[in-house]
Formats: sequence, C-alpha cells, structure tokens
Amino acid sequence: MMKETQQTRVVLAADLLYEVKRLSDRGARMIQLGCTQDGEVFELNYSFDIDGGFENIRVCTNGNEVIPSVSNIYLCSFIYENEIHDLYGITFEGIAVDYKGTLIKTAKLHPFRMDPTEMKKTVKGKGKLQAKTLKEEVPSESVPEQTADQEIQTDATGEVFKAVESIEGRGNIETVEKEEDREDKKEAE
Amino acid sequence: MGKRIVVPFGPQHPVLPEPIHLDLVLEDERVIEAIPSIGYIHRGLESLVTKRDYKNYVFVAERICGICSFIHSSGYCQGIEAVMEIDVPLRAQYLRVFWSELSRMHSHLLWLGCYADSFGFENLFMNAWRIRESVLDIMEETSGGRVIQGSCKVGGVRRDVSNTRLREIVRSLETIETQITELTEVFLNDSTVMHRTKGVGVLSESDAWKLGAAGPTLRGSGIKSDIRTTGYGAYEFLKMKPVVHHGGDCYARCMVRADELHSSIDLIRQVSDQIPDTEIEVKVTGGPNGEYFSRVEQPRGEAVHYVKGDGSKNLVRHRVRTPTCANIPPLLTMLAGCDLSDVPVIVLSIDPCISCTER
Amino acid sequence: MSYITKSPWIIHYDASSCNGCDIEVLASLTPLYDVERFGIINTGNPKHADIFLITGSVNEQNKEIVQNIYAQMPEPKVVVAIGICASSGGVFRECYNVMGGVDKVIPVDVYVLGCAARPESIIDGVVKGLAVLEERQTALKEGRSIERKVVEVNRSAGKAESANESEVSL
Repeated sequence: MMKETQQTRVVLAADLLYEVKRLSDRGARMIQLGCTQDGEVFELNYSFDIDGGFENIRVCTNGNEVIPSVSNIYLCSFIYENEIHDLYGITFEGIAVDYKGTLIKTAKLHPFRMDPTEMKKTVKGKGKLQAKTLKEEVPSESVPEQTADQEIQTDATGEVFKAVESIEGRGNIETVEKEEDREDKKEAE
Repeated sequence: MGKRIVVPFGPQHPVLPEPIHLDLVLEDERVIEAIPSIGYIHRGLESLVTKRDYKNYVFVAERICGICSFIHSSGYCQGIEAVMEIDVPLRAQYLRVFWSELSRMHSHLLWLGCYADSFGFENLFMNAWRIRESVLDIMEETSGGRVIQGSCKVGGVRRDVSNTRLREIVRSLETIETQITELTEVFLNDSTVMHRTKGVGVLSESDAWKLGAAGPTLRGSGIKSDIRTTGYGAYEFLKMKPVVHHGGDCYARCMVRADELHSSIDLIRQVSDQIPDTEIEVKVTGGPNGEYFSRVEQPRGEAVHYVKGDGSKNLVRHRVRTPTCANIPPLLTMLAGCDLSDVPVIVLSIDPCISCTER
Repeated sequence: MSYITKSPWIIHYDASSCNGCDIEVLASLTPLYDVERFGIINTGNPKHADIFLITGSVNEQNKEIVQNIYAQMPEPKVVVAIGICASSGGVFRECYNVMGGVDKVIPVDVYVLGCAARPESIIDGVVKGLAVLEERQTALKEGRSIERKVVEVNRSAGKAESANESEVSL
C-alpha cells in the first residue's frame, strides 16, 4: 500500500508566524490545524499542502501558553483556532474572527482537556513514538520539563533540521520582526 | 445607506438538511456579511477513542456522517494500516474503491436533488433521488446497508463481491449513466436554472486557494487538486483525471459534480476489469504505535484522518478534518454581497455536511 | 377515520444526528417509497405540522431548539423518534455532549429503530403515529385532556428525569 511521505517539524511558538509566513510565500495551502494532548504536552499540528506534498509544523505547548494566531496569514484558520479554544482551552492571540468561547457550546467546559494523571501513561517505555517516515527532532526550551519531554529525547532518531540550528542560534528574531514589519507595510499600502 | 437588519437563517429551515445557523446582516435585500454559528451536531465522538478499542472504533468512524460514511471508515482504516504497516490485499483495496465511488455517486445525486430543491425545482429533486435509488440498490445488495455499509475494517473488507456480479453491475450502470446524462442536461442547459446559478456565489481562484477550500468548491474555481491523484489505496493503478471547471460560481460547481458522476462510473468500470483474485482481509494483531495523517477524497473534498497510537488497544487521538470545515470560510466570502434569495443556493452549493464538520 | 389522518403534514428536524436517518426520511418522500401519494407533505413551518419526525441523539445546544419547535406545533400533535440515536443515544450514548435520546427532552409517542432506519420502518412508524393522532383529535373534540408523559428537563445538569404518566390538561 502506498504511504505518503509526511514530514513533521517541531517549532517554537515564537517562530510559528515566521514559519507559516514562509510557507505562505511558497504558495502552500493550509489543510488543517489540530490539537492532540499527550500527557501534559499539547501538540498543535499545522498541516500544509505544497505542490501536492504534505508538510506538517508542530508546536508543543503546556496548555497555558498564549499562541499567536495565524489567521492574518491564513484566514481559514480562525475556525480551527476557535474550536481548539472551546475544546482544549488553549488561548490564541489575535484571531481574526473571535467567538470568545461560544463557537461550540458543550455540556462540559473544555471537554477534551483531560487531567494528565487520568490519561493512560502513554509515552513511557512503549517504544518509539514516531512512524518511520516522520523526522522529528528534539524540542527545545519551550516544552516544560515533563516525563513526555524526556521520553521524546531518549527515543528521538533522525536528522537534526536546519530549523533547530536557527532556533538555537536565535539569529532570526530580527528576521521575524522584519517579516512582520513587511506585512504591516503591505497592509498599510 | 439603507438600514441594516439581522436575519437568522437556520438551524431549522426547509432547505437545510442539517442544522447550521447563519446570522445574515442585510441592507435592504443585500447580504453584507454572514456570521456562522455551529455546534448543533457536536457529539464529541472523538472522545470515544478512550472507550472503544481501535478495531471497534471503525463503527463510530462510519457514523460521523451518513452520506459520506464509507469513505470515512476507509480513511480511518487506512490511517491505522499506515501506522501498523499492514499490507492490505489488493482485492480489498479495489473493493474499497468500488464502494467509495458508489458512495460518491449517491452523494452527488443526493446533492443534485437538494440543490434543485433550494431554488424551488421540486420535480428535479424527485427525479435525482429516483436515480439515486438504483445506486443504493447496488450498495445494499453488495454490502447490506443502504446508508451505513459496515463493510470496511482494519486489514481489509468484510464482504466479497464476485467478479461476475461486478460485471453485471457495470452493465446496469450503463442505464443509470443515460438517466444521469438526461438529468444533468436540465441542470446545465435549462434557462431558469442557469438564471438562478450563473454568476451567483463567485469564488475567485486566489481566494479559493488562500482560504483553504476543498473538493468541488476548489475545482470549480479552476484549481486542479484531487487527493485521488496521490494514489492512495488502489487509485495508483487506476487512470483518473481530476475534473476542473473555471468560473467559480454555483454553475461551475454543479458542472464539476455532474462530470464527477461520469468519472466515477468510469472508475467502477476499471475496477471491474482490473480486480485481482486475492484475499479480502489480513489478520491484525497488536496495537498501533505512531501517528499518520490519512488523506482521502470525499465527495465534498479532502478529508484528513489523523490517528495517533501508543501501542495499546486504545488510540491516543483520532482527529478528523472534514471538507465542509474547510469550506466554511470560502462560504462567508461568497455570501458577502449576494441577494437574500440566493442564500440557500449558495449555502447548498458548497455541499454542507455539518455532521462531518462538528463530529 | 377522521379527516386529520387523511393527510398529515410532517416537519422534520435533525437533532445532532449523523444524517443517515434524515436522508432516509427524505427518501421516503421520493418516488420509490412515495408517501406524498398519501397526502403527506414535508413542511418547514412547525405551525402547519401534525407529526414531528425527529432524528439524532440530542446535544446540549439543540435542546432548546427541539423544545421550541415542539412548543410551536398546535395540538393534536405526535412525535416520532427515528433511529436508534433518537431512542437511546445509539453509539454516541457515552459522549459528553449527548443527552441520550429525544425522550429526554420532549415526550415521544413512537420509536422507530434502526441505524439507519429504513424507509419502510419510517412509514410504518408514521402510520402508527396516525392512530395516536386520531385518538388525540377525538379527545380534543370531546373535551377530554390528552395523556402524555411529562418530561422535566433539569437545565443546569443537562440530564432529564421523566416523571410518571400524568395528564396534561389543555
């Protein structure tokens, strides 16, 4: 059976806007934005379609961080961000159309956000967490020191992407600002 | 400047098969903007992964939506099989394509009927559904269910269809094809229908791409994007060309779906010619450990099933992103600036399947 | 048979269903099963309807809509719950957002089971509902009160407790 090669890169929340803008400039189409809770880590998966291929950006958060919204770049993400806010309780900053928690009214508030101690011990010692075609690298300081983090570190295989070097080098903070300035200038024009 | 009023549309409305609520801000008879309100069908079925093991969960995945039910279950099974690296036998893959294409046909015929109903042409609605009944008869005799088939499982399919029966089905599809051609003639060439649909609800090519539209909404605006061309399942052995039309209005989307009906019949013909004689299932043991984004082409567009497992019998996460969810932002763009009487036509032209969106 | 059973008008609403039973309801109107030959019309206006065909395991947001439609229908009226989801919650019974069946929100007279319920069963259910409708029409004419189970919906908890059979006088 043919299996599509799917690449996943882990990025920091601070670099998310830069990465998404870069993909948008390359002409990518946003496929989806989903959230998974793995113990105490919430993984946000941003999936894109470039020339028929599939690329995935992952942001790991502890659930209380405020994530910047990408709806200024991809307007369609507002519906996913509102849904994730209603189901998981993760706050996004600057959503273009913000329902403020009233998109989906459920009987239980933030129903998908589970108490990590109640969740089954998912990651410990159960083998590799990646499928063979995924290339994951070690997530950096934004992920808090949790057991999930340690497991990912011990099990991580595969190459280290250039993205990690640039995150660690902090060389592109200026680039991020420049990108945002350019965006603002375009809007002003 | 006229006075602005807000008219609520839905959740209970004769033209809507499913509840969705739109607050239409009107100035005289023109819609300025539309604010959607969803959540009426949210059952939270993704939380059932903790309560059912991954093999039984396929029954829940089937019931995400009654219209596109088979393709949801095959998308889910495909995701699990990719994670567990299971080799599904070829015959099972061909049979999955067979049922998927029948599903697509019945969904498009259903849509043609509801679409005709939205601009008041009830006779066309009845005719489209009469043809649909013949397709449902084929589904029922091969799988046992008209609406929810229950024939897909992790590792293959549950039921077999003999080669002679497949050939007889292809012969009966020829009659259905003539009836479909007669029906789509009316949709595409009748002057009243053209008056109601041409130039209505225009979505430009760049908007369709940027707003992440999917399926006929995307292909009706001139963008060639069909997930079946990536070759999942048995599609890598079948010849198929995505149907693309330019125009971006309701008429173009109708043309895309009418042509897809013919393309589905052609695919079923190819399946019957090429289907090999192998097993229809393999035994599956253990639990899925890993993650995968399984992409399939629903009648409404691209659906993504994300499965993540940790090796045990219960999955950690199953997330479905359905095409109607992706088509809601383009819908809001299309509604801005249209007349109030065009609202049902435009809402139905994206083929809303709200039970898929909200799961 | 009184005139009311000759041509009852139905109103159909999808209360958090997967849509399978809804398309079977619509399929009953179409030429193969054709209930329109009995004079049954699918109306969109609850004030014109006699029979309420409801599908789906009702969810939190839909509770008030269902009660609203039910309250707008004039007496005599009959509620037919179609599909296993409308009867007991079906495969979604354990979901957090699901009430677990229509009878937790409004009183139901006929249950049609199936997943998805076949058009033949739906027509059978509607015919059984006609008998109840006629009984209620006679009761109205004779000035008797209509017997119906009273359903109390506890709004804060979101779960309904149905009381014993009691009379609802008009």
